[in-house]
Amino acid sequence: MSTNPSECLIQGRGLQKNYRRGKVQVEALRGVDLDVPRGAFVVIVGPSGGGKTTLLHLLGGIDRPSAGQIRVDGQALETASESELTRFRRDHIGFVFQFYNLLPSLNALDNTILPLLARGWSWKKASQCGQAFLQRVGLQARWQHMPGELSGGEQQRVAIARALVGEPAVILADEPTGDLDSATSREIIQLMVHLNQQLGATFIIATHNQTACQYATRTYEMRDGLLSPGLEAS
Amino acid sequence: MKFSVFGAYLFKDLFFDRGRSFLTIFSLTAVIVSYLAASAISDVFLEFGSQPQTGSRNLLIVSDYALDPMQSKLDDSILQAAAEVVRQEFGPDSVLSAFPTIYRTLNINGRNLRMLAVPRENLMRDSSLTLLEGDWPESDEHVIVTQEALQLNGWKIGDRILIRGSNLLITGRVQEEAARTSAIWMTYDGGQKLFNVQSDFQIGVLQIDDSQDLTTVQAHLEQDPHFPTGYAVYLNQQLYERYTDIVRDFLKAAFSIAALASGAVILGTFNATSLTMAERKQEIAILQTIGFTSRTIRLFLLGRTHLQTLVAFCLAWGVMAIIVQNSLKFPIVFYAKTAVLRLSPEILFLGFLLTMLSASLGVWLTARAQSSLSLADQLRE
Repeated sequence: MSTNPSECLIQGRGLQKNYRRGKVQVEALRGVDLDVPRGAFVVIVGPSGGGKTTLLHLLGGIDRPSAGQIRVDGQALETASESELTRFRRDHIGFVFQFYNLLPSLNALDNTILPLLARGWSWKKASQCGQAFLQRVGLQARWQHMPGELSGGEQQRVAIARALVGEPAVILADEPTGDLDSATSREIIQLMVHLNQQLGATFIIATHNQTACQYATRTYEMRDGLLSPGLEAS
Repeated sequence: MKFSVFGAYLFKDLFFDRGRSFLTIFSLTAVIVSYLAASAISDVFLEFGSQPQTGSRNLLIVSDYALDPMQSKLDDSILQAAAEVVRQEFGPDSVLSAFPTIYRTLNINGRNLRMLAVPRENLMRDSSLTLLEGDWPESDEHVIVTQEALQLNGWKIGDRILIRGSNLLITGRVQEEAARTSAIWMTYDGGQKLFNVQSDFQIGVLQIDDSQDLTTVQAHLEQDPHFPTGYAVYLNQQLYERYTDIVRDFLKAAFSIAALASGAVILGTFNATSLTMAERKQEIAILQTIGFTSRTIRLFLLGRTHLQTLVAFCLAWGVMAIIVQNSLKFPIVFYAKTAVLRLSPEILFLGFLLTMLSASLGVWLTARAQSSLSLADQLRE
């Protein structure tokens, strides 16, 4: 993960996203412009239903915009094919979800190394790498534990290790503390800040948690499908 | 994704999910056992319903009113008249022999047996019997018994059997060329004494020379004005079919059961696999998000499903082998003909093919339905 603060890693222009939910047409994004430099720690706050998750889905290549352009790490996503998007997610993006989304059949280490296995690594080589990342998130002693045997905070640490293990350019975290108590939430935010500073990975976090803003290099507010800039920190 | 990683993940996943995996395997096993059992039963019905073509050169003459050969009644004058008609039309050497047969259906130990009595020289030469073990009857109290009758009644050569007050000695084991029924054969003289008959018998047999076409001779006999009225001429297998109208229903039943069995295995397997797939929607979405391609995921799911289906098929095969083994003790008997459940290679191969194809279809269609949703929608669900 090379860090060049002046480089614009993510660029979104006029992003719109409309979809149908049942009989209702939803305008999730209504023209969003966004620039994120490499190595930034971006926090997007805003009420539920404001479009935060949709924006992260577009930035992560999970979904395509109805209109507008997105360029992430030099790659245009709005025109990419399904298989190109899959490769893009595998090589450039790490995801952290509100409900951890660990695979229940795999232990902490095996969950962590999934992105490496998707890249064709051997289980042994991936496991060595995974151990190192579990150590970074403070779970080296619990690598054999199944998700069901871990607390919410620990599961989220595994999810963060999984997001980081492939050394992606961007980590997208959607409400990473939404299912955690306030003390654990603070720990998780501090862990992400620490990893951002240590590894230089770019973090974009969508959250209700206002405390995350104090660590952000840039904050945005997302409301009714529109993104407005907040305070820019150091 | 490396193959070793693929295999390791597959087994980890199956082991973790062993409760549900076993349930899937058991439900698949039940479906496949149903298929195999129904197909085996269908095979039995097919066996009853179809007669093997034989090399027999015999034409059989019976009373045309008889619903059962036992009701037929003719005497030597009828038989000789029929032989004469053939000789007149097809030459003096066209009839090799003409002999009577006493025919009865007896109920012994709760099971029907055919009992046939023919002159000794014809018994040995012209009745399409093969002596497998022992000797031909030497006296009126000697009988030879088909393999099926021996098996059904637990008899062996040297045993004596009591029929209508006579103590008959089993001297040999024979195999019939055609119907493979449960039958006892004896000499004509012995039959006359046993059933207390003088000159009448049930079936007149004309053995026709090889140079003649049997069906042509049959057709001529039936149309010739010199052929005695009130009698009909049959080939061996036609006689069996004539008195077993129900065989047509057996054939229909056999095909219906086979169709039902195939339908059950297709739908059952499809249902079990697609249900498993539907339960894993969220996990599939996570793997796709992480960067596993749809193809890799589909291959993984196919591998997982095929492994479960294969285990289920082997289990079902084992279960059916036990059922078939046990069913040998209880043969199915119809019209003195016996059949046992068996698993033919065709049934197994077709079952395996249908099971694997249905499993693949279950995975493929469910995966296709899921891939029609966007990944974002799948994650939202």
